[in-house]
Amino acid sequence: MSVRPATVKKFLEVTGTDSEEVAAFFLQRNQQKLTHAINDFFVNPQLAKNVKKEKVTVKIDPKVKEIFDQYKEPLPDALGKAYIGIDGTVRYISDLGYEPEDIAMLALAEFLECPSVGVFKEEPFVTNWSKVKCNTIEKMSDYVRNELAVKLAEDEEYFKKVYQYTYKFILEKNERNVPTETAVEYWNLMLPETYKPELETFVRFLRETDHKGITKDQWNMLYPFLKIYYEDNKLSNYDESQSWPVLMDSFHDWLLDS
Amino acid sequence: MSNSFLDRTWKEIEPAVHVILGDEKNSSLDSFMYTQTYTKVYDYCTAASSRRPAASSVGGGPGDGSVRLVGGELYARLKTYLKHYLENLKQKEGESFLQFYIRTWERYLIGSTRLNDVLDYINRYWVTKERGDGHREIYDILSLCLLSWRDYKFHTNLDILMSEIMEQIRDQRLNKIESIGNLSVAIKSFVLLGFDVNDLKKQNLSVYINDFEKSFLTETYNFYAEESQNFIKEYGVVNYLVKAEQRIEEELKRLEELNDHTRRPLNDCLNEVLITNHADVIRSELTPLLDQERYSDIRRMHHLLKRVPMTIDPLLQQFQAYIRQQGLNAVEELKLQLEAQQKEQSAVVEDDGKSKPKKGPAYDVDAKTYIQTLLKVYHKFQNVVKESFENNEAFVKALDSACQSFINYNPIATPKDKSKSKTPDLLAKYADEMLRKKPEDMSVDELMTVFKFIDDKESFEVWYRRFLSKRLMGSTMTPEDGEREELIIGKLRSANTQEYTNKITNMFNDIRVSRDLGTLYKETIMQEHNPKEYVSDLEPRILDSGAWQSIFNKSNESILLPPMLINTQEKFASIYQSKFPGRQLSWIWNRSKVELKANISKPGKPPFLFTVTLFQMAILYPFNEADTLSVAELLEATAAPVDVFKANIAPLVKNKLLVQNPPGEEAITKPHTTFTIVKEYTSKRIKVNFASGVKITDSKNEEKDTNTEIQMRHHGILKASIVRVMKARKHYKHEQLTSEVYKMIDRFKPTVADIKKAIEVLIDEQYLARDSEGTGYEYLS
Repeated sequence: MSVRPATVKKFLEVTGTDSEEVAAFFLQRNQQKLTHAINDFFVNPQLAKNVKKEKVTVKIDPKVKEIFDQYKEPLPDALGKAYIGIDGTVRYISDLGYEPEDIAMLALAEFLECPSVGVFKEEPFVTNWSKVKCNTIEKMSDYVRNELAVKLAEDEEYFKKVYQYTYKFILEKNERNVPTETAVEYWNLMLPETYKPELETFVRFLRETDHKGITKDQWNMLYPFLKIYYEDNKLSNYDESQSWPVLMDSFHDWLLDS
Repeated sequence: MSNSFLDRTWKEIEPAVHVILGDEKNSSLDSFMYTQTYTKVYDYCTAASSRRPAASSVGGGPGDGSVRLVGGELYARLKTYLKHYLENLKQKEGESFLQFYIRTWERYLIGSTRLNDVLDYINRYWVTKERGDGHREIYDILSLCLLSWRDYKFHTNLDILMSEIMEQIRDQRLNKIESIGNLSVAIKSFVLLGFDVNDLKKQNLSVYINDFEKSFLTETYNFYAEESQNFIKEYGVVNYLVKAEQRIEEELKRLEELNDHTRRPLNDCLNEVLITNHADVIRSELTPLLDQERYSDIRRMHHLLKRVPMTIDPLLQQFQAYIRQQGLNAVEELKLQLEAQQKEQSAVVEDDGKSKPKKGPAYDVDAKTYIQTLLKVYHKFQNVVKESFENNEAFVKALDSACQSFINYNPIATPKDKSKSKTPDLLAKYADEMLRKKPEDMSVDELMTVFKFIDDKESFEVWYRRFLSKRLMGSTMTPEDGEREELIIGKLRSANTQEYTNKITNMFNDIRVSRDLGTLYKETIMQEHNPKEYVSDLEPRILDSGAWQSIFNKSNESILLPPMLINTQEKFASIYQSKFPGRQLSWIWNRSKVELKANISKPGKPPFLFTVTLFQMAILYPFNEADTLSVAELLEATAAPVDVFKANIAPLVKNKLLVQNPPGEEAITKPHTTFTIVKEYTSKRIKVNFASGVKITDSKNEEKDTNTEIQMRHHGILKASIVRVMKARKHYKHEQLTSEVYKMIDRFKPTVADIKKAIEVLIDEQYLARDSEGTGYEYLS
């Protein structure tokens, strides 16, 4: 994880909060400016509550902890917490019987609350596996195959959740946007086969117009956009005065021109 | 009751009745006959009543008890008589039915009134009692006469009567006969023949409306439908405007002969047949009339159409579209002219065989010509609104809308569909030229006229400040200049808001405060041990970076100050900090100018006064110690960026203060190139300005910078407005949000994309989030 540890640390120190998520949230809202973020925190304390998730007490299974320890980095992160790094991640995924480029791995990342690519944090890893009572690699592998992968294919709402989570997951720290090429890779990985032709046209547009980065909002809205684009292949009913991001408006114009 | 008494009485009064109603000889009614008849009727009624004992007691009579009221038989005789009389009235030879009708009616009406008097005894006793008992078919004598006329004379002859009346009216309309004095007698008979059976005194227009008015209106409609059609075909719309107006006047005069009830329906009928039905054809004449500047004809058109308000709306639209087109044409013409001029010039230059073709836009727009072109169209049609449309509010509005459209969007201001309008820039340039050159043909009023129409007031303000900063930083402003500046600011403020001119006002304040600081500095150094260590004539300019953004942009070029200035800088900074603690002072060297006294004149001549930039001073300073210095040495001494160095040293070489070796533009920045200062400088003037040769920013960048500043302002305003709306609404749909924000912002016209971009930024900054349906937003703070 490559958070600017100094700012986060300082934020936690000054505000007396212990949630890194809260710190990250306020810092992001204020373009990583520490004084602004702290000020914002005290002006809008209610926002912090939304960030902190209710934590259900789960009985931690020591066997899960053992599995975690097999993969974790020898040294803790800047905040003194244990985590699985990129090497551990590669090994863990391969032990589960998966390739890293499998959509199920995104569901797994969401399930284990990975803050970014190639990082598993101890607390959510142990808590969430204990919660679903998977304390061996085999059980975990089964869970991914029979629960997460199946749900991802069948439950639209769940898919949307994982899709939206993915943006946060792939966003490099201290970057405002996901580079277009990275976004395209993940779209190809995630988005349903049905929308492939539409996605291809959209990607062609991004490349032709030399579009540099995808914002979270553009990411989130692409999925519903592809849906209407799929149903109305000339976008003849597209209305720019609706709430679609400007990027979709430009795409619409581009489509009309070409 | 004795029939003989009745017979006798009737026989006695019948000749008188005949004379009263009018006999063939037109005998006159003498007063003796009048009283005699009255008495006979009285005698009959009273005698007949007293002869029979009362069957029932109806009211107490004097003397022998009750009296039964008599008169019914006489009434019946009269009724029969009237029928006979009327049926036997004879048309004279050579008399039209209408003439006959009018003649007999006039006489009969007089007779009826008289008869009513003569037989008043019957009215007062018998008729009153009968009607009191509910016998509604019994009338007073006058009404009986009129009803008889209606039944035996009027209804039976209605067709011929109406046809002859309408023929008369038609003849009048065709100018065949003149007066209709008598006609009105006939028409008014229709009014008198209407009765309300229950209340005889109440006027009832049913006969007039049903038997006269309806056909009159139909005939009128048909007549004018045909006439107007033919007239327009034969004489054209312009003549028709006169004709229609005249016809309406004539017909309204006719109302004197008619019952007032007809006023409205006649008006409606005429409006429809003369105006509404031809409105399209009439309006189609507007464009040619405007082309030919025939404003009094247009006035006539407006005057006529105005009678039917709904025909005005399309006229307004047409007028508005016309003005807009004229505006666009005028600008297009100017554009072609400018392009042609440009071509001519470059052609001339090419003939010389020296110049390269110019890049960029194919023409330069002169702000003054452009603004005056716009104003010319506005003033022209402002005059039309006055001349032809009586300054009517709706037409003033149409003019304003049209001007707003072409002033903001035209071939010069917006060469491409979606480009940002250049009019605010050009207007600010116009203001600048006006304030600097003070020509007689530019005025504050004209500036404000165009300002009123400008959509993007923010753009104008940013450009205005940019030019203002140059005026303030440039040469000295006289008190008169200051007053003119104030006047415009005052007008801008009242046309907008206090806040709108805040930054502009602050810029003037900055200059004032700077002057005070300069004085303070002077006083301070005078008290120092050694005032000579400091520059005494310091003219500081302390500028607020928000208002003076144009000066701050890309002005971070730094140099090593010549040692003699370091004290001064530090002194001033400390004075400033003690006066305004906590403020940050940044130094913009590239705007500083220095006046130097240079002792390099010929012997015996006074020293020169050089005006140089601070950078030039820094370059010249080392020459106090050495006559020749290389580029490398100079760069080291000044620490100036190379391009800045080049820009500043060039005027020194060009004006022959420094001699460059080897010469040439290429060599000017080569490390081994040397510069040698002349021993004796020669110039016709004592004062030499080297600073004016240094270019600070080129205009292309200036436009880009300014547009960026404007865009930031727009974006900031949009974000603030969106947040304000969302703060109040918490959850709001996209369409509602955009339309509310659009309405809120009056300083410029944001596009849908502008608003959406601002929303997306707010989503990114987590002030907003899309709602679960994705069609609206939630406010997060």
